[in-house]
Amino acid sequence: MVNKLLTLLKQHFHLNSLWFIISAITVFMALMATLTIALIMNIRFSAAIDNAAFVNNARIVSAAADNIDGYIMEVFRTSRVVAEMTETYPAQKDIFDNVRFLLPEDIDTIAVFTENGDLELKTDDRPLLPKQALTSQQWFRAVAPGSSMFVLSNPHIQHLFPGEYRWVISMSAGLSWSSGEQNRRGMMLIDLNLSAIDELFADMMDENSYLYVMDEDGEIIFHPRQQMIYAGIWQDETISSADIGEGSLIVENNSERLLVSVGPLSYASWRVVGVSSLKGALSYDADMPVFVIIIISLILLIVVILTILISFAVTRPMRRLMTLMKSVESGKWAVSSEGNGIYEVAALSESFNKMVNKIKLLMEQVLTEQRALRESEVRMLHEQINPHFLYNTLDSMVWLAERGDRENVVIMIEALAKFFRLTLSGGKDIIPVRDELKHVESYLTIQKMRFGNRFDFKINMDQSVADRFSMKMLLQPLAENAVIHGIGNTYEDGMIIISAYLDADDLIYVIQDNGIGMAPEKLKMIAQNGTQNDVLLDQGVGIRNIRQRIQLLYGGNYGLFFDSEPESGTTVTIRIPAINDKVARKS
Amino acid sequence: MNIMIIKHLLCVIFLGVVCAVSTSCTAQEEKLTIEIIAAGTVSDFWTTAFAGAETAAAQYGADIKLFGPELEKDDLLQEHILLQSIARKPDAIIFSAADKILTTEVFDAANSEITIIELNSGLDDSRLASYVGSNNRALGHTLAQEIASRFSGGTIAMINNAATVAAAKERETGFLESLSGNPEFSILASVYCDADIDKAEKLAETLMEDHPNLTAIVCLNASATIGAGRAIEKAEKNDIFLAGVDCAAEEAWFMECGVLDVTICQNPYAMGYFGVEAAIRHIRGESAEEVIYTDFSVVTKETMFLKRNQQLIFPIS
Repeated sequence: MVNKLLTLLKQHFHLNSLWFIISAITVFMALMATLTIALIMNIRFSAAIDNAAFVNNARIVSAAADNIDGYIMEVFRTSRVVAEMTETYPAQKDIFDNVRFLLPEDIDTIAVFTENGDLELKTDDRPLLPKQALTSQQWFRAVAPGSSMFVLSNPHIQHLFPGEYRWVISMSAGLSWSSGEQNRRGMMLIDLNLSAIDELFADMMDENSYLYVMDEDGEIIFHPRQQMIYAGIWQDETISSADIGEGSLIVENNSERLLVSVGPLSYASWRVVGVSSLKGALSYDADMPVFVIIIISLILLIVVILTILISFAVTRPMRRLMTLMKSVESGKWAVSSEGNGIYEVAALSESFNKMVNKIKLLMEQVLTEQRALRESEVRMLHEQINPHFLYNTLDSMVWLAERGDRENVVIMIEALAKFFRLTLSGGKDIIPVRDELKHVESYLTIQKMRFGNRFDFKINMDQSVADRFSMKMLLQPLAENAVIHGIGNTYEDGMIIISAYLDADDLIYVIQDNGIGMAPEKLKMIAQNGTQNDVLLDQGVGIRNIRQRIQLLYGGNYGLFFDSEPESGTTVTIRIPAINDKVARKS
Repeated sequence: MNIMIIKHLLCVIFLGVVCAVSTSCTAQEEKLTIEIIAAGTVSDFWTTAFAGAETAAAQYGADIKLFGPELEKDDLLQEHILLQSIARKPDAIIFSAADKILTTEVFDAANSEITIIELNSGLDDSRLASYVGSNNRALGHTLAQEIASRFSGGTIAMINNAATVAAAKERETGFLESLSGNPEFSILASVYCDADIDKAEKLAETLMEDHPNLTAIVCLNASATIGAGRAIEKAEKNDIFLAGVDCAAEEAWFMECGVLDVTICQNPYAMGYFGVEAAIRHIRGESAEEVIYTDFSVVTKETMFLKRNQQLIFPIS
């Protein structure tokens, strides 16, 4: 089935064929439409996703900030509880020495020192480093002893216990208490395990985003890739961009677009930074571009196939018509197109059928007419080489010769020779008007001598027709009629006048005699057809032949026109196209 | 006829959709498998290296497994572990030779089907895809410079890992290259602890007894440094200058106490990370350097708590 279709397509494939143009335009439009929609959707969805990411990122950052703030507050409250214990039980200070505090995992150590660095209280019994090693450390000098301030350090290695090195964040809080009568000032150290902060927002991150905390100088407090940063393998390029206080901005980083949101903390001079990658709708899901391409390809495939099918189906009647026309072109006339479905094509089919039929008719007509013309001409020749005419003429010549009228014998022989030469005219159908007139002149010369000069004739040729051409042997039969039927029966001086002139583009021959004329009925009969009448057979054949030849060659507007009255003669007018030299030579 | 064609085509299109959807669903890449065969597994050095390796594996989406003897002296166990690993045919093995391992046999067994990355042990074999680790000769140079900048002369003892470990040999060569030209220094023949802390301690004790006027002991790996540190602490001979490699917790404490005077800290996290990265690049057929040197830095008691050194010395657990 598919193969058949393909063969069909290949057979009818032309770049300018209708089905191909329709298919190409439709496919192009479908492609444009699909791509435009995909593009608009992509832009639209990307913007929506960006927008959602902005909101989401800011929300996560603020939630994380709240978490950390809450955590710091909690630690601070813990420090207040311990402070109160210090205040409340100064006398029983030694009970702490025997008590092991059960601390949450995130708090490594709580210790209270006097302003001189002497240990007042500690939550475990691990031995401390010497006093000098402690008081030089940053956490000890971070707050004024006795104040109510607290300060959080950056992550650092805890340096309190011999041989133990843990990453902690230290909270140093000022503290004052009374011991006996004395007011004592000091500070409390709470070391928080760095890994504990991790848990504060472990569940707030996904593969497209992460959170980190930095201090006001851009130093990392916590970062999910802290170790990579510490090992010098990786640098977070958003750190410099995050120096914006509170708010969000988009950072273009290599090929990535990163959304950086910054939120401040209430209880520390730290900032929470949330980073999400903005990838746009297409790359949000790794399969998305593939999916979109598959969908677009499928749509296009369907459109291509359907358009080809539809355009092929639509143009099928036209192709059939085309095939029919081709077969007509190659001469097969016996075809007809069946009109179907589509209005325009049906109308076209109908016109085509009419045209073919008409041409068929015309061709048949032309064939018939040509045959008739040939027959007429052949008949005319037979007429001309009439043995009676020749016999009579020769007889006249014998008589003249016997009389010793040598001069007239010569004239007659000359006229006869000219007559026959012009009759044959080298086989041409169209001869100069001059020759046609000479032909009739020769004929009338012979007849005049035969009839013993009982009539005379005159030939008027307008100079304008001298170089025109005309059908041959139009005048002789009419002249014969004029001699035999017009003048031959009278004994008065007969006169035959033959004229040739132009009327616009028509050539007019007029044969006028002053013979016996015709009764109106006879005239009417001759004017109508000049046939089927036994009485008029002789002259009828001649007239009918001339009329037929004129009609076949020039059509209905031309022909023979009769005007006659009894006793006053007959005038026959022939109207035919005046043919130019060139046209005549062509034919 | 047209309706028939359309029916056929609709069937074809439907099948096409089904195929496309099913292939796009099943076309999930299989994860690369990488096995790390370390020389040890419990030391700070190796836990940090593993952390780096795991980070890289997570980033590149590879499956990573860590194997190795607990202690670096168990070189026979490591060989066994390595052969087992080769039998499993992972995509890559990241390997750090502990000691007298029969590397040729191992590489023959791997037979180029497995990408082998070498981590910090300095094997010389053309079948290695990449070496990732310290420039051990430069490390030896640096140690020698630390000695030369503090002393104008004296007797120097050297405790190395094992004569058969290429990295150890490189460090020794580097150290000797820098210092042996100076006639003021007399350098004793190297002794080897075979990655055994106790053996190193005994070696150091012997050295101190045999050479009462010893200026410095140079230890070329962590176990030697710890062993020598213990011996010096026990003998209370803090005046002997101890130069070492790496900074495990015990070494850090020795440094605080003044037992260990200078140490060269390597970057095991970076080794682990770049080792996995190089393995993945090789497997994927991307370009990867043949030798990737990770940095190391000189740490003394004064500088050990500087922020930069804290970050390098003490792993975040």
